[in-house]
Amino acid sequence: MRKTPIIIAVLTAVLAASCEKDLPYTSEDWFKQNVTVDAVATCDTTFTATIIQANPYSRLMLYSESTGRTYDEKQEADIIKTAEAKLTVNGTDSYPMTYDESAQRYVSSYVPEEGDDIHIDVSTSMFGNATATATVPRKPEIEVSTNSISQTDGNDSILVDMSLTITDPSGENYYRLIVRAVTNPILWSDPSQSASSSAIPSGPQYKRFASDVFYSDDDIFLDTSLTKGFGGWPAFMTNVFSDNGFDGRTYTVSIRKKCPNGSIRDNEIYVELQSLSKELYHYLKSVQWYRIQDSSDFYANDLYIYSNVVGGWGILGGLSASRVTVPVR
Amino acid sequence: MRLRLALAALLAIVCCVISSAQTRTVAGRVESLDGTPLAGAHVRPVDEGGGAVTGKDGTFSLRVKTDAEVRIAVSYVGYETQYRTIGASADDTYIIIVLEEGNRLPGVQVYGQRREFMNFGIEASQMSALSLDAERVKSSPALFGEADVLKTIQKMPGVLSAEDGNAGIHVRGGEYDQNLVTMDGAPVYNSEHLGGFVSIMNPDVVDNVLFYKGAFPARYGSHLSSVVDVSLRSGDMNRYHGQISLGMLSSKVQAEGPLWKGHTSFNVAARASYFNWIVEPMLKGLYDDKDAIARFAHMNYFDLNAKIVHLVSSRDTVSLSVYAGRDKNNESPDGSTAEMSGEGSESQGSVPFKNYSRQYTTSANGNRWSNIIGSLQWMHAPNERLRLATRATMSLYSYRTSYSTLNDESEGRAYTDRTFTVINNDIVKRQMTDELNLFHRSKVADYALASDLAWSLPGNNVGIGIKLSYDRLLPAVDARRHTTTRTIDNPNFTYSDAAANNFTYTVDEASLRSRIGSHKNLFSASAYIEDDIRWNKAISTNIGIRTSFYSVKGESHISVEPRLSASVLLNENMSLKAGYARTSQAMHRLTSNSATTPSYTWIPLMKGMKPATADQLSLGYNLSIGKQVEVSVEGYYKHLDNIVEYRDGASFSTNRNDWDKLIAMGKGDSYGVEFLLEKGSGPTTGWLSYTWSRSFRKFDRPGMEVSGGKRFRSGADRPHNLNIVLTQQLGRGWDITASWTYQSGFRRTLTNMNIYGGQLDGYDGWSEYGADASYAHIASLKELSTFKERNGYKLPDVHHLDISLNCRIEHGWGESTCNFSIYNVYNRKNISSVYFGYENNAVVLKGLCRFPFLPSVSYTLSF
Repeated sequence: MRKTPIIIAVLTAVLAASCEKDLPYTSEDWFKQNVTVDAVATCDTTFTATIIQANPYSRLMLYSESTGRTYDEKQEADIIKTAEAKLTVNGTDSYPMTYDESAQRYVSSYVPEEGDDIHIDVSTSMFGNATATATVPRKPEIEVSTNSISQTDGNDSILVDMSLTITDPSGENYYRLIVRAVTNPILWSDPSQSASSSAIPSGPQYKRFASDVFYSDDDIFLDTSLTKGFGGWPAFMTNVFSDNGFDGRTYTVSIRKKCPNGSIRDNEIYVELQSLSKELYHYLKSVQWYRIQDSSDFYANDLYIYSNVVGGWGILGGLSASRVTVPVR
Repeated sequence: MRLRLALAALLAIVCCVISSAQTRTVAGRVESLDGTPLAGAHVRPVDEGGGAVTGKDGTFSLRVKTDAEVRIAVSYVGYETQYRTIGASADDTYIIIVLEEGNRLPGVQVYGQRREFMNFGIEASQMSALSLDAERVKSSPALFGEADVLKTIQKMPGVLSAEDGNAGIHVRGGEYDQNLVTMDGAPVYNSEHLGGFVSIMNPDVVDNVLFYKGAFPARYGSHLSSVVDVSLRSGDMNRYHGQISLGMLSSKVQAEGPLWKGHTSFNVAARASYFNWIVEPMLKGLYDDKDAIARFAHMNYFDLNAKIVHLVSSRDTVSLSVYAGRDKNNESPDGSTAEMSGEGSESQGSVPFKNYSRQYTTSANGNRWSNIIGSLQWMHAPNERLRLATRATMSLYSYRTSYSTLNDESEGRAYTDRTFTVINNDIVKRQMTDELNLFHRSKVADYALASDLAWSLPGNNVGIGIKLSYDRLLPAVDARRHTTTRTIDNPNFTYSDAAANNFTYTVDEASLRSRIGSHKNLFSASAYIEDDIRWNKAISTNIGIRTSFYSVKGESHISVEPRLSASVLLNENMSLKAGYARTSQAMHRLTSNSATTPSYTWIPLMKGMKPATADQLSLGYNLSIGKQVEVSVEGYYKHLDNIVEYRDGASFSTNRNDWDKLIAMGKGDSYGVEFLLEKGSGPTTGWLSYTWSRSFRKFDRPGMEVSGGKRFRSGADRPHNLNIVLTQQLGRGWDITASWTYQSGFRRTLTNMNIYGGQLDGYDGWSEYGADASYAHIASLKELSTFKERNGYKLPDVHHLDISLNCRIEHGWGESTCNFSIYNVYNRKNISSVYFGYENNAVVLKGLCRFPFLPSVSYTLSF
């Protein structure tokens, strides 16, 4: 006789059970805080690394009842200053890294050379060990010839048309191209320092400006994932590219650079071709895609920021550059 | 080279045909009274082990003793078992066996009759294949009591469900779109109703299902991973029958009978759901977050099946099958208002004012899809050994989603009451309205003409066929955006200005209309030849070759696909089997990896793409224990190439290119071991299946890298899959079925970490110049959201026990069947989707269990 209420109670308990459940979010390895190691071993330049805390969403996003929106708790990076970082080059030479407060980076005495194999070990008391490996690529071969210089925008600007010849060694190679122009000092008043601002106006001062942006119709600079322009770069154009299409060959590409007329420092610009390690290439590509992402686009596929750091996040890349100066007088 | 290979294979087949005709074989065809071939019928010597299962055209081939009279039993669920005796002196024999319907009403569920095995038998050359009849499907415990073909297949080794309670299948590590699902030969491009709660195959009209997951016969093609070949049941030529079913999710009606007695029959069935009436309130009561059900808030479907069969003559049969179904799945509109009162509150007399900023947002999602499928078939049997089936099919699929959002932000000043509640807007200083409407469509119109010739010879079943098809697809996204900004010309207006109506606005409007995608055409042609050969009592093979030709604008491709399966009988009770199949696919369904808003888009081959291919090698061992139990173990390795995925971060809502710019092509590998133990007869029947499998993907082609070209797990990488299904006859029309499922958890891509990173030191635009860049570090560190690995987040493992109790009551004029089912008896919270939620101002990861403990009842009246 007493079975009936027991059965009813059990069934009610089962039925009343919620259909949602909080998953073990922060306790799982997958979600734990960790370190981000950002470092690029650049040929002939002292090696440095940034070590920052990586946080799961729960540490950073807060919900505002009043606005109904989420926002970041922190706007600045949590730089880890107490990590033990060690660099091993070519499997033999060891270089300790120390934290430089002014640069907010770990610095070493190591200056990368072409072909060096680099291995970094980062150890923190909170987050354990993270390691990464990279190879410094060979310097690329590039020749530049100027085809024409013309004036445009009512003589306010000049267009510099150039031909670049890249000699690509066989095998997979990855590049970044910058075409940099730096202006002469220009009298500049910061528009953000308005009279109504409580900040002390900085007043007009002389500043230089620079731009790496160039234009080209060549397919090697085409990236169909870059559906929007960004930072002066047109949509579908990238300056980070691979040798897919000219592997092992000498390839000539035409580019155009637009500069302000008559105010270029020393009347010259420089063209720099950088050889990238494969890992750095993928990292830079993913960051370029990320910066045009629309966070409110529900239909967007999730984007992976490339990482070669084992036990952490970030990138250890290798880079070697060749620079050519081009007069634009 | 390929031509030579094809010729060599053809030569081998011809040689096989000639050489194998030297031994004694009983071959033939099994069909119903109206001439419909019965696929999946079992043919076995009564006093010997082994046996054969009829193929799709009803043909079989069986080796028997040469020196003794042999009695053969032919059985098929729902039909009277027939016996034939083959004399001792007879040489190779070809027989046609016509089965009559058994002493039951067609369409009535039959529980407790002797069950046959799902496997094709230890002697058959075919491996990696199963035959399911409608009764097996109906007896399986089902969610809300809705028996389902695809959900029954999910309980087989090598098959995983797309989500908990979802009818979608992943076979041997393949993707959802790699399954060829056909209804009477016509392809189905979306086999789901209610977002996957049930499939579109109404079990009341399903006759038989042939399911292949490897060692594909050459007659099947166009998809990489599996074939679900559904045959619809012909109506009774002589008597009228029908049934009415009432369930918690839907109700059904089915009727069949003669249109012209003995010559023409019909079979019609219709279903309609009422999800919103019972199931939705029931689920809503179980969710913490009532909005979680919003995704399914306005979801319903209806469908209609009809089949007409006409016996033109004793040698010719014409049949027409039609299916029409439609779904809608609209989310509840979602809206929110946020208001902040600013500083500088003032008053005019006794009426206070306040400055405010207000944001109002609303969004709505709509989703509809429909299938219209037709198949017109002419079966012609010029003589006993030849059978020609010619079929014209049509499949029209339409999928549409819409997303609209309105964002209205305004700043101004308002009259308020003493508690500062707005009672009237006074002046709007600035108002910005952003209205976005997004329409996503995916349409497929598939027209095909196919002809299959089956030629039965002693020891050989030869099949030759050709198929031409034309597909017209529309993958398109239309976006319309309209923004309006209204700004007061004098921001320093005073109350007297407002009172005097002394102010004006500047209005800026902008409209954007864009469309990506357009109609795309795909022409396909394929031809095949295959021969199922019994070399002797111990060895049988199926050798075939299929050639597929695909043509799209400006490009064409040929795929040569050898097929081979072989069986070696080690003794009367055990055999070894091996199979190899190459398959190709020219259409893909793109699925976004977004866990919150999935989207599905069919695209054909496009310029620069190649047909996807799969090479699969299988090895199996079959054991027959007595006459009631069979065991099979199979291992497989499958390599996929030219498969398609969305690129990292790709979005069709922001893209202005065609679809080929959104996708990447890559490769994949799957491997695993499958075990099936099946008890086919007796008062207790059922099966145990276990699969261990892995599945990976790699997209590393230059310019098409996904996850930087790293190898990652596919969504179907769920290593363990165990199913136990047991049916017990309780007598007096009662039976009970219990099913326990255990599967490794689902895999999802979950962006969950914020890291710091950025571009190398450099200058994008004309920005302030610091010093000559060293490039030695990542400059301008920014917060970036990312994840560790695509499909890297594993949800908790899934397991549930389901029970189904059936009771049949004979009325003389008909029969009542009651079904009581419990899904997830011990209320395991199986998580199939996750989302980030907020509790106490902190982020929590919420798992949504769609189907907790769910009892259901259904009633069927058959007459």
